[in-house]
Amino acid sequence: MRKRYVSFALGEGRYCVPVEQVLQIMRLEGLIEIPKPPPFVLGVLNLRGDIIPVVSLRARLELPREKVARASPDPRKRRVVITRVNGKPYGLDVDEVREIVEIEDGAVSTDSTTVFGGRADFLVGIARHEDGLYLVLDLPRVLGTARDLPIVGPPA
Amino acid sequence: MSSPASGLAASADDPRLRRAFLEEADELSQKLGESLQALEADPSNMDTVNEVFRLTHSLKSESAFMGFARLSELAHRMEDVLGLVRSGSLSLGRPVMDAVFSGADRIAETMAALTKGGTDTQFENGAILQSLSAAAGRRAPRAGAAGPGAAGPAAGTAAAPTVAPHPAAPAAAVRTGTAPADPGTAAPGEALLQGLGDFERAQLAEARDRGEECLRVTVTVDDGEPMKFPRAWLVFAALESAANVVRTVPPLDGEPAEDAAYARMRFLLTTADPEEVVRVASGVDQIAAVKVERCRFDELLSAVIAGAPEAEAGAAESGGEAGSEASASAASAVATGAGGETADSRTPTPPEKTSIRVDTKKLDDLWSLIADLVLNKSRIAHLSENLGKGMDPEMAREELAEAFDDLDKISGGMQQAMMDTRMIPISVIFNKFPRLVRDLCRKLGKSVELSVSGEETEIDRSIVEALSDPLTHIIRNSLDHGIEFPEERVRRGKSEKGRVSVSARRQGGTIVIELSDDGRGIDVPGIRRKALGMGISGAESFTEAQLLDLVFLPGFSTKEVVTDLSGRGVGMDVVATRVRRDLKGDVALDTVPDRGTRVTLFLPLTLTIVNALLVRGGTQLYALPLTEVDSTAKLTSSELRGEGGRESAAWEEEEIPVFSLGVLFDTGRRRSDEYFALVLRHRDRRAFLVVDELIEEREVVIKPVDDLLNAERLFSGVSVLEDGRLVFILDTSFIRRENSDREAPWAPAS
Repeated sequence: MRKRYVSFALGEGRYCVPVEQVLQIMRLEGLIEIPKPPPFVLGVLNLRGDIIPVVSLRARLELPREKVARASPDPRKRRVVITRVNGKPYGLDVDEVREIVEIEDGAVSTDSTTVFGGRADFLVGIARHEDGLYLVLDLPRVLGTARDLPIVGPPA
Repeated sequence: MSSPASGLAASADDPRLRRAFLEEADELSQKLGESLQALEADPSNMDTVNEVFRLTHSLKSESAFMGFARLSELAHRMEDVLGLVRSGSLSLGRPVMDAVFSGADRIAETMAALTKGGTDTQFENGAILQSLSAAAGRRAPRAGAAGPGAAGPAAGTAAAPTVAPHPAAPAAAVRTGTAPADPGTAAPGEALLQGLGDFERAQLAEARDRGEECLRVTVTVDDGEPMKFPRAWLVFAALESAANVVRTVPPLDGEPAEDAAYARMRFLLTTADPEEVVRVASGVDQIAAVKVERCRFDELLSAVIAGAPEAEAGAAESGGEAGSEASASAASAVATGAGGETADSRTPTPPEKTSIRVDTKKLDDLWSLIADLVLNKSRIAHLSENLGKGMDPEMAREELAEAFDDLDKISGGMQQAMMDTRMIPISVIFNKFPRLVRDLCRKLGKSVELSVSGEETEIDRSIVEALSDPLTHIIRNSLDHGIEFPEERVRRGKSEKGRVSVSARRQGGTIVIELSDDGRGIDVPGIRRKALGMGISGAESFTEAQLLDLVFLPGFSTKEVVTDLSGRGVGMDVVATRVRRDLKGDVALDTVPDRGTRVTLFLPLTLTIVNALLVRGGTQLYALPLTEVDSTAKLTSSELRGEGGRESAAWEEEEIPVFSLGVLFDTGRRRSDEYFALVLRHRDRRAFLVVDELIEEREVVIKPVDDLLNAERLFSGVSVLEDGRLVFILDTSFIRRENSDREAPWAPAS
């Protein structure tokens, strides 16, 4: 089965998440600082009364510094991808939002994630696509706290 | 009730008559419930018997007068039973009492339905009528309710007893799949074993620790039996005499299902005597098959039970007992399938209700406010029109100011009215307790008098719903572990009957619920020994309150730890989590050896709006619920003792720790000669909290704060101000933590 994913760039890497997990895409404006945030939380956005934590994917995925540094992102393209996970909205800070890609379930490989320099446990797998490779994020894990981490297996 | 002039037949359609009837009958029904409780406490009191008789008689006549035939029939049958009791030809034993109780419960249910505009015909009373008739048939005392033949020649049980095989001579129809050496065969994943609630799990865990066995019993009612439910109920009652039934599928106490759904019943139960379970289950008439399988406690209690569909389990099962099952007709098999399905959707913990009942008075208040609002709107429209026509601006300003004042009052009133619709009396939970205590007493062989007070106290609906389980849990613990058996009580010079009291009251912005018993109390030195054994640092110098607080820690209040020290049973950690984390309240224990134990719950009136003190720390705003702020104070640097994160200062002759927002949130603390501080209180503990600025006292609307932002659990919520700024609501329990060691919540404060 083919599924649709929203793809975005972070440093040199290309990432994607299933479209149904994405609520909207917006510029990073109106970020509110919060007291003593975890290192990977930039702050919150007040979106029509909803308080939405904004996560720096760079920090959360623990991307190796040199990989990130080589590509210097264009600040005008920086976006927040608002996602919904476990019924709650979260924002992901990314360098640039690309396009919607269609990926075959069978094209997502779960055994090659060790080549990824960051937190491989936050990936569902690596997807082969005619445009290249996409890292498929496992959002419930990325946004879960260590304690009540929901166990979500790779797609069957 | 006043009789209409026209004579005999009244119509339930006449609204005035109906209302008058409802008021009167509702009162009768309530009195009936109360009198039955009294009767249970003292079955020999003939005055109470007469009173109950009189009440059922009145209910019978009034409902017959209104044309509620089913209600009337039910009351009539109860009156018959009580008539026999009154004349001395029937003794008020357990089965009789139970039958009468279930009749009274059904009358109350019917009254509730009638009040909501329903009819009495929506209730199927067959089972209750049968049990009443059966009770009336027990004129001569019988031994052992579950003994073979006990359910035999009861009046009204129309079906002729055909197969009632004694287990000593197992007939083909009875499948007793149990063999004590047989390891667990019950497939996990069927409705009976899925979605076990906290309480059910706690029951299982306790039973395991008592060394009982867990069985899954499947009972198939004889296909020839026209009424399945009464059979199912009799089996249930019989099983209860030999076991603790943890769950029943389909449930016998929920919404009544199609009678056919009860053709095959599944019970999950724990027992010390599996043989007896088989014996009593087979002792009921009109049962085609009884199948008993072992279940493994660890599988049931493991976090996730894989969800194999019920249909599969069912199919595998009937394949395994082809013999007798084959004789059951296809219709019965279909019915079982349907039963499984409905049970599946019903047995897991029900989700929070999305529709609510609101007192019409409260809605009327809201409606009149809306009328004011509409008036106000047209007034402003008028004003704007006049301004366009060149009205004197000064006059317009005055009128606008007036209109705004009104609007302010209206919106305030609407907020209050909406809040009121969320408030319901806590009696909705408390009312379940007499029954709970009664059933537990019977199960445990203990005798307890329950007193309830303050049930009219109103509390936020969402809190009430979340409280039901923990309160039930605490009462169960009291009866299980607190209250001694009658003989032991007498030996200790106590009254044979234990006392459990439950009370609720409002204390400022807090609801205080107390549950106390006069049982054996908690062995505090035993907890200390256990704490030391578990390597909890500092346990040797803990105060009694600190030791008792350990009972709320996950992993501490296990049976092995506490029950043999005669304390609380399992699950107090579940209670504490629910109350402290979910409900933003608190729970405390106190105990006197041999005199009893008291559990006190402190709950906020509502979860959504609190009166709070707004303060600033660095650039951030924080709010502290007023219920947790004792006072504000100024601290001079010369008053501070100690240093680095461990400072303290004197407050009302007590040395209490000094915290500061700057240190808590790593924004640093500016040095100064004088500091603004709040005196915070969390249960028995107080502390100063140094802030950069005291802003104001106001109401804040609380939203939940995501765990991602609350790794250290310093916040109980977040609020957005009108200007978009965020306010974090502090969870003052941090003052109980050791500054240097946040990871160990049980560490004593310095």
